[in-house]
Amino acid sequence: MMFLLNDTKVSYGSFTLDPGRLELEKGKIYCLTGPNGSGKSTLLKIVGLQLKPDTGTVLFDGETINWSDADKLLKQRRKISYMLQDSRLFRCSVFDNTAYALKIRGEHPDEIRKKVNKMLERLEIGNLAKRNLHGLSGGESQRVRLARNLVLDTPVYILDEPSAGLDTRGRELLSDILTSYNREKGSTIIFCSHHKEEAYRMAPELISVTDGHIAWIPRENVLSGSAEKAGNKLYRFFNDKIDHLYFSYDHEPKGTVSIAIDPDEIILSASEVHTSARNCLPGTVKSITETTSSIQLTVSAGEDFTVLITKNSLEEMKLTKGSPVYLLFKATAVKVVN
Amino acid sequence: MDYIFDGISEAIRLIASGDPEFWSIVWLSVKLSSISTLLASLLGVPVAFFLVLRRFTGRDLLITVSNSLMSVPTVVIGLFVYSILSRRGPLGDLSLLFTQTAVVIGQTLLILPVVISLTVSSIRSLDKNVRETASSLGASRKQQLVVFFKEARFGVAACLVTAFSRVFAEVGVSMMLGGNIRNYTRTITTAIALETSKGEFGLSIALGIVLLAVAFAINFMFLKFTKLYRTTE
Repeated sequence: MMFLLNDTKVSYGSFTLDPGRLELEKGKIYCLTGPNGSGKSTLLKIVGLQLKPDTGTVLFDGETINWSDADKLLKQRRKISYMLQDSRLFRCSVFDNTAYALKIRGEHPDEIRKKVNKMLERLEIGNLAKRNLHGLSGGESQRVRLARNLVLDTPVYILDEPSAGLDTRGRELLSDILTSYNREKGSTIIFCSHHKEEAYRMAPELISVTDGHIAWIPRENVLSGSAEKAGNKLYRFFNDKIDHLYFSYDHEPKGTVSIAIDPDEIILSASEVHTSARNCLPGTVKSITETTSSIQLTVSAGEDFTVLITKNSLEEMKLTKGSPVYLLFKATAVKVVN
Repeated sequence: MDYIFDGISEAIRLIASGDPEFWSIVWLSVKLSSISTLLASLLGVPVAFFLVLRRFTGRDLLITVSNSLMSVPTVVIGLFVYSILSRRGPLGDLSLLFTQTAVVIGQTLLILPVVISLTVSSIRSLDKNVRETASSLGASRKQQLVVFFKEARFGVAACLVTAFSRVFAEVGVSMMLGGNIRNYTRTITTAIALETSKGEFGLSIALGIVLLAVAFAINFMFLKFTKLYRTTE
């Protein structure tokens, strides 16, 4: 286990962050999602050992954090590469900004030069090394911030909105680096993002933060198969169980494709209807489970799909096990996961 | 209207001719303003950093007092120092009144609140962000302070330029504490006041041009200097 937050709470005015018990395992990728002001950044600050919670304990790498032992805390903080949401670039060159965290850790200048240049090249901003910050675009500045954190070789990376301001290429590079760090070095990566697709693509573990409370988002409706072009940015997904499932995607998918459909995006209908939704799959209700807030149905439509409906809908549609239904969802509701 | 054109042509002649008295007035203004700015920054900048970095009761009150003192008229500072330095005042025995030292004391007191208040406001916003960023990157407390001082240097420099401009252009303190003594305490502004009252527009206009030119040159150099290091924030 990498982190354990035990009954930690932080309050600002009327807002309270209360994640309860939160366990984050070593070597996994976690993504926090949620609206602005929900407490994502505050949670990251606690996990990044930068904010002492009002109550509760934080365990990092098997040790309980002692917030008053400054020397020990510094050593523990240095095992984490943490990028703040409003991380400030210092008034020096791109190279010196990127080298900062290595310098304060006392690394040898030759080693620093090698690492920094390699990271700047990897983020495709090697040409900016000698530039000062004046005149850098927002996207370039964000790449410099990322370089400054990703150049560190730490077991944990915590990144608050790392893809903010990045173009498609920047997001690809970021996702490649994080995925390779996780696979090759076993790094634990925790980030938050507004891009749902990016979250699905990189993070096997999704945590939703709402009004200071957290919830694990189950990764439902993940299917694997092949894809072929069916229009402009439109593809047909198929495997041995499903024949026609359309999804829109910016890139040409290659080889085996994994897709995921958010249960919230699926609408249930008792009859076949023609709507703007591209997908209308016939199926039968396989099981009905009641949860605290909604009804969870498993519908067999070739593959098994998880669908969430309200209690009222269940009663109105008079659904029972074996009822025939249609699953309606847009091509844009399908996210490509790999 | 002729007297204005005559004044301007006389001013150009004075500036070009290298008239020793004219240039000694300019030099004295630059010298006294520089010394006052230096003293005010040696006193004021550490106070400003202390006010930003230390949390204690009465801190906001001190900052408010300093802010209010920024708008005190120069003649009030002049009057205050005059009453202390005059023969009957507590420091009368030092015989400092109507000396360059007296002008420097008055000017330093005049811009001390300017240095403190402007420095406080320029580094206050910087404080949290810079130190939090450094800490998130693994900086120790000392390393956080080092990077904070480094980041603050441009803001502080801007405050000092403003303070210099204020003291360079002031007339009340120089007049009351220096006495406008020829070849000793006559500065650009006191000379302008005197010459204008005598109807000597040429010298006044020439000094006015130099005053504006110096202020412009200092601000321009500062702008060039900061542009080299400006951040995107």
